[in-house]
Amino acid sequence: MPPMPKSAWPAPETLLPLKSVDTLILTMLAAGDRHGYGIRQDILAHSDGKIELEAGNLYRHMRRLESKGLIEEAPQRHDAVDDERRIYHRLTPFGHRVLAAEMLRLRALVRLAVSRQIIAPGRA
Amino acid sequence: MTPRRPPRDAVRVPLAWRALARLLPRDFRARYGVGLAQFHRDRLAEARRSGESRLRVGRRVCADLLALAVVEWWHALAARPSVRTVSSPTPRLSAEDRMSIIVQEAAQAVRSLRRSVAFTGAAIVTLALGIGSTTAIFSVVRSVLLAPLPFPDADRVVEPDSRKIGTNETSSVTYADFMDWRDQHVFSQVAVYQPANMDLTGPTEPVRVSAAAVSPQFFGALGVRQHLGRPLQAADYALDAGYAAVISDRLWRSQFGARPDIVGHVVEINAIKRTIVGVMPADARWPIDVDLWVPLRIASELDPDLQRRDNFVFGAIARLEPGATLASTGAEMATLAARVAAEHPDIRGGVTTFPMPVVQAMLGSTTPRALWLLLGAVTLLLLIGCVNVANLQLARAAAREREIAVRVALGASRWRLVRQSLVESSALGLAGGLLGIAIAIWLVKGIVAIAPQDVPRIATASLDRWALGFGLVISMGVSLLFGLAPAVHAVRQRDHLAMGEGGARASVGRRGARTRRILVTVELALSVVLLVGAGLAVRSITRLRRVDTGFDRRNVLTASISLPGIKYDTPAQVVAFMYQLRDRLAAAPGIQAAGIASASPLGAGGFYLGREMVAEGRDPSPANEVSINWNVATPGYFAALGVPLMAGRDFRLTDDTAAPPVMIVNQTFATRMFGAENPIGRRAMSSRDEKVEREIIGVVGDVKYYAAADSSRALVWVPYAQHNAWHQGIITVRARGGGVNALGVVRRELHALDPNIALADVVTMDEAMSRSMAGDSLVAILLATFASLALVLAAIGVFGVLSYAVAQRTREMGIRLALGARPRDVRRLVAGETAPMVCAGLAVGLAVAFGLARLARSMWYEVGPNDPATFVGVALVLGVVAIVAALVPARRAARVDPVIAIRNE
Repeated sequence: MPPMPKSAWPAPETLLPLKSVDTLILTMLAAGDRHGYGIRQDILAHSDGKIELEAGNLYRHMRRLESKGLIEEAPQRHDAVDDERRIYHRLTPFGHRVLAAEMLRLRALVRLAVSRQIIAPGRA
Repeated sequence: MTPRRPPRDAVRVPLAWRALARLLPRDFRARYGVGLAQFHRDRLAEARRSGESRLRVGRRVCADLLALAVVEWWHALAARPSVRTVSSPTPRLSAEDRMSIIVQEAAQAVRSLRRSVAFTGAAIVTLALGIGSTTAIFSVVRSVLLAPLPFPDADRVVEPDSRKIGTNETSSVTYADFMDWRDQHVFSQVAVYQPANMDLTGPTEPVRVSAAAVSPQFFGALGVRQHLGRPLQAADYALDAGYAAVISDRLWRSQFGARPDIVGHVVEINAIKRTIVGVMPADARWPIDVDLWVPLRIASELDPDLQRRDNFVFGAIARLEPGATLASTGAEMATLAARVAAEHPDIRGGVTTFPMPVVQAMLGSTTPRALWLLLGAVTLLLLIGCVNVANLQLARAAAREREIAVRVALGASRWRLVRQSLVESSALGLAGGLLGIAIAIWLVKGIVAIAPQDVPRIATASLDRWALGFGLVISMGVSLLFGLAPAVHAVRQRDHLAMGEGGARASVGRRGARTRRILVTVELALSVVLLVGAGLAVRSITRLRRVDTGFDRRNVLTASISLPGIKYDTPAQVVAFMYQLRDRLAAAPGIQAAGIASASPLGAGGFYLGREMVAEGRDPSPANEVSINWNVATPGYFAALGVPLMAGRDFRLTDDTAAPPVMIVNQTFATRMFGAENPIGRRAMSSRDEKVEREIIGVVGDVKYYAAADSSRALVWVPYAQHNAWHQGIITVRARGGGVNALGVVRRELHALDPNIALADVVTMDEAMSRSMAGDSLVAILLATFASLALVLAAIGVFGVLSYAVAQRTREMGIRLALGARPRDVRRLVAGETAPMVCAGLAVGLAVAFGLARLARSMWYEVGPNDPATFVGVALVLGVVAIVAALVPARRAARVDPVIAIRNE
């Protein structure tokens, strides 16, 4: 996708709420560039092994996120573990803003849940 | 730096995954294909490390890829611009836009279909006939063959049967075998039953009801539950307990007005007072369709009749042990049967027992075969219909080439053209499907009305949601099938136009014409197959109608009676009653002859015994035995039925227990037993049962015993007076004709003797004849109907192709005529177009039909699978129809006015 002038991006809020898989993918990429399988492993590790993305499901979301300009392909490089050359993906600055907006939305929701005593306030 | 690669064997992605990945749209593959492959290699390596089952990984990944392919194709197709030439960034269509495009296209399709009323009408009617017939036959197949049986775990219910080893001859079982199975726990539950007719004393006249005496685990083995009261219990079987009965839903409604307080009600049945303890649900009609179940009370299981190993008079029903299979249970039964055969080689040699699955026992083999045959026939009809509609659409597409050219010029994409074609086909398919379902509703009712009553569950056939769904699915399926040809045609035309080929029209037209000719050839071949099937069925039923049943069926009426054992408990009483009734009937006004026998020919009712006989002086070994059906009759029976006495004499009143034992046999018996020798005066005995030498006093002609299509069977009759109390009989009277109320006479004379005996199963021999052919008739009628429809469709196909060809070549014809060709030459030219299609269609069709007819040859009566009359007839009929269909276009061609034709271009 050719880079667009900044003013062409819509306001991050118009893309909310994100689908939960999208949120997960963006969150994982926020921690650093990942290749496809790395994203799966990261999600697996952060969901107690419950969310097991297969390739098709993952790339389907990646294609959408990419077409909306939230993520992009990073320069290829060698994997730290087996040193194989792989395709890496990274968050765009716009993607970062959308993810942050989504998190703010979620935090507001969590606060509401606390104030309505659905859950106890977290310690952190 | 050279990247280090992991070991090769660790990363081989299965072929199936790679193949599935190839299904993805090209754009997606180009962008993400490499990443996908890397992902899958890692995924596999990890699965190997973690020990995840290969099956699970495979299943997950394949499902995932399939889902991805669907989503991405939807995305790719929806997002593709319909106008390619514009170079602005691809506009994304919202869901609303997509929806509105679909609506727009559907509306366009309907408009375009409405413009050509004749085409649309023909296509819809053709499809409706095909879809309607197929749906109707499917709903019968589903109700009769496929619907779940009304028992829990029906696949574990079996019917234990006896069988002569090495043959398909099966029979019911002995009580002694039943005791073995029960005591050795071969089944989890097993029961025997005996059918009987019982007279229920009603308010005015006694009613004959069919009943079954059943042993304790009967209802348990079936797993059916009563819907009122309770089933029969162990206490009901005690000899000193009160008499109990369970009644059917049908009897409860018809005789007791469905009164809710029926349980506890006492009724008189066969002169015994019985308490009704329960009512069974309406679908409890198997293994025998009866209205009354009573306990089979056994005074002592040591009774010699029950201990005998050759008393095959009990029906059996059983439920497999948990964990047992049909095969393991069969093996157990065979072992037990082998032991019995070793202990009683004289009576049980060569006999084994086996469990027959409930479906097979219930449906037999004739009904499923006939139904699958019909389903095959309607499928052919449906295919022919599809080919026809495809043809019509092609003709229409040819006429619409200009419209398509305009659309292409405006930038219509390939997909857009295909989509429009498919939307039109679907609209046609849907309309045809709806009309077809209406036809199916009507057709199913018709089939149920004329189907033979003995087809199990036929009455339940109706257009249920399964059949409805089936109809809709095939409507959509055939839409794709016949929509394919015009879609391909449109795309091909587009590509030609896109390439700027000036001669597009001519070349596409030529190729279209070839496609249409091939389609018509296929259609002709399919029709030939159907016609041959119908021809064989019709030939078979005609033979059957003309078959010599061996007796004069006119003016013969039969009705069955059964004397209650309580009142008529000695043989003398039974014989006295039967002979007295016979004499009264014979003397009654309007009656020419009368007799009573245990069973009627043509399977019209009654009972007989299957026995083996050996001629006097020969040892009773299987080689010398002749298998016979053993019947009981009164004097006058053969005259009443109209069976000719070929030699000897009829029974006399004096042929009783004091006189020497006698019997009358039929010709088949005489030939099998004595060859060409004179059988009169010879003796033979029932070698395994009665073991009494009987003298043959008469020989009668052969009759069709089980049905009109029956083969010759050895039959034996003994007089009532020489048989141990046979309580049941079929009254047979020959009326003088001229509107004599024979039934009234029979009823009057019977009730003059005993007003409490019911008259049942009243049927004339003519009715019995048509009843015994009902199944074959129905198949023949349906096949003939389907074949006629196929023929009409094929004729329309030929007509359409030639008309189009003539229209295309008007100019050529004009030139030929202008150059001096005679109209006859032009006609010949058109006829020449027909010949190759008809010949190829006939050749292929006849070859296929020949192969298929061999598979179904057991269905026809005395008609071989290569019946020359049928094959020649079909070839002739098709030839004539093709010529007639070609005639109109040929005449039109010959009448072309050269001046107009040439000027038109």
